[in-house]
Amino acid sequence: MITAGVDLGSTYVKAVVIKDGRRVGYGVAPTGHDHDLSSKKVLHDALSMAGLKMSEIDHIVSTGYGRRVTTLADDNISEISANARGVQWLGSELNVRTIIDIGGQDTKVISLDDDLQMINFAMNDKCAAGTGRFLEVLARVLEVPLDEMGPVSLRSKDPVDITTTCLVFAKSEVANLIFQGYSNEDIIMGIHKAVARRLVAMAKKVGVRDVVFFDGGPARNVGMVHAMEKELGRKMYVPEMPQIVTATGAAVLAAEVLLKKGK
Amino acid sequence: MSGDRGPYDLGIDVGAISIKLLLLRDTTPAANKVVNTSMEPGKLSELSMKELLKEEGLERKDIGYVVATGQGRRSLEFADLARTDITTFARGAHFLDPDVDVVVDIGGHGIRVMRMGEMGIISDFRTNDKCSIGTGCFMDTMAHALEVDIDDVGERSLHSKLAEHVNASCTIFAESEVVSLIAKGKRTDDILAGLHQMVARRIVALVNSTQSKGKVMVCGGVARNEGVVRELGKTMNREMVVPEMPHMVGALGAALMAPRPRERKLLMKEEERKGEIEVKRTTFLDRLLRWRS
Repeated sequence: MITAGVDLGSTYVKAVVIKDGRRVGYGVAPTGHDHDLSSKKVLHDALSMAGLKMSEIDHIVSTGYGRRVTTLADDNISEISANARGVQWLGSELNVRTIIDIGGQDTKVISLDDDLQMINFAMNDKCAAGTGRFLEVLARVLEVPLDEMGPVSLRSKDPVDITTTCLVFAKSEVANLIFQGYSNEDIIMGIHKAVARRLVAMAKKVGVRDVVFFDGGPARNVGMVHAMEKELGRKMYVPEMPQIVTATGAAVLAAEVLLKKGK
Repeated sequence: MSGDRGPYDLGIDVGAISIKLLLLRDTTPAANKVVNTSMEPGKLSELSMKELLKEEGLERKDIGYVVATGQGRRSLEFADLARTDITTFARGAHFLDPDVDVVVDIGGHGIRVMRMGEMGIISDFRTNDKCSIGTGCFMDTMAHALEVDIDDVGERSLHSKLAEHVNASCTIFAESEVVSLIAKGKRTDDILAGLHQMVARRIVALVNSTQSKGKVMVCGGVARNEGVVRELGKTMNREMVVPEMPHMVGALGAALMAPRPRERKLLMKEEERKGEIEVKRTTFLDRLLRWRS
């Protein structure tokens, strides 16, 4: 049985192909203006990695903020459910009870019970502070490639304190810090700390228990992970490819739909 | 430290986007100046003050007191006094219209709502400097996305016949929304009108939260935008005034906070008593004024 999950996020589109209970291919590409086109592209990438053809896929489930836009999918599901399902599938032996998912334009905290079923969640999609966008925009102000933000920030000895909440104000604040001569590493770690503060405050409202699973694109950023662990006061579990957890969950759900139909 | 102080007072409002200077002779505005702020607002304010004095054919000694306000007020080492923007906006607004019950300052980085009590003393205020939505910074970001000069934004929106509904809770997300509206071929004027409606809705909600039914004065840089003012007028549902130079209200209030002549004599005696000891003028003036009120 071959199924696929396509996660149409605000910033990136991700696709995962699962064959007989194993992840065999994935694709990631910027969302761009045409969700339909970019979702087809990433699915194509995932299929070529797996050495499969489009016609061989039995079922496709879309998720994410653009999940209803794509014409590819047979079904769609909310990113909260898909993410939780992805974590259940990837980390069934990890005792995960809290998921912190940081997206391009939103952040979700999901609380799971002992059977890994979702019991509560919180979402911020009203404010760019504490989302991937915060990192993306400030990386541009600093003229540092987004992928280098993490490694650069780990060299920081004395991180700055970002005092503003709003990303628009933070842009001016960072420009001012550069002007005052603060080093990139101290500014960037300060940015990571600011994001971490918001995420952890949100997580604490939902409740933090046992193993914390950290996913979403910005979870690839080692500086972000470091700042989060410091703010949380505990280690987190970060999967190998945090960006495609939700797409994985969608592919798993696609397989379950077929199993229920008795195919 | 002795001798007469000049007849003029200067209010400098060091805002997030611009620095406003207003020269007052007794209680009559004599001249004003606006400059875009820089990374070093202290230096820029001093330079602008010198320019303003030169333009008016005045010298530093003609100025009795320099009173700083705005979020960058502490960066002005040459100022005699520093006052919070809440105080100065209330003072300026009360001076312009004593009947005003609620003062809204839509500034570059924040929105402040002040409820006026008796004799122009603030009875309540709320301020939002955590979020940029509706502020001057918001309008700047939108103007940039739409490639319209910020000074034309208000006028352009007046040409709109059907405002494009925009409802974002975050400036950054609104920017993306505007970009996608442009991509969909929507008219710039209509998008601007929609943005102004959105700002007006937020301001009115803030004003209503004061529970006052009285007259409202809208000031701050954004009140220069006639599109925002028009939408505010439609949704405010109560008497509303916008002063001629809404962005100058803070600087006006600051200049008005300079001690008046009688108070000055008192101060000078104090200074003489201190003799050679250099005192930070602001601190004991602060104390004196607080004690008086």
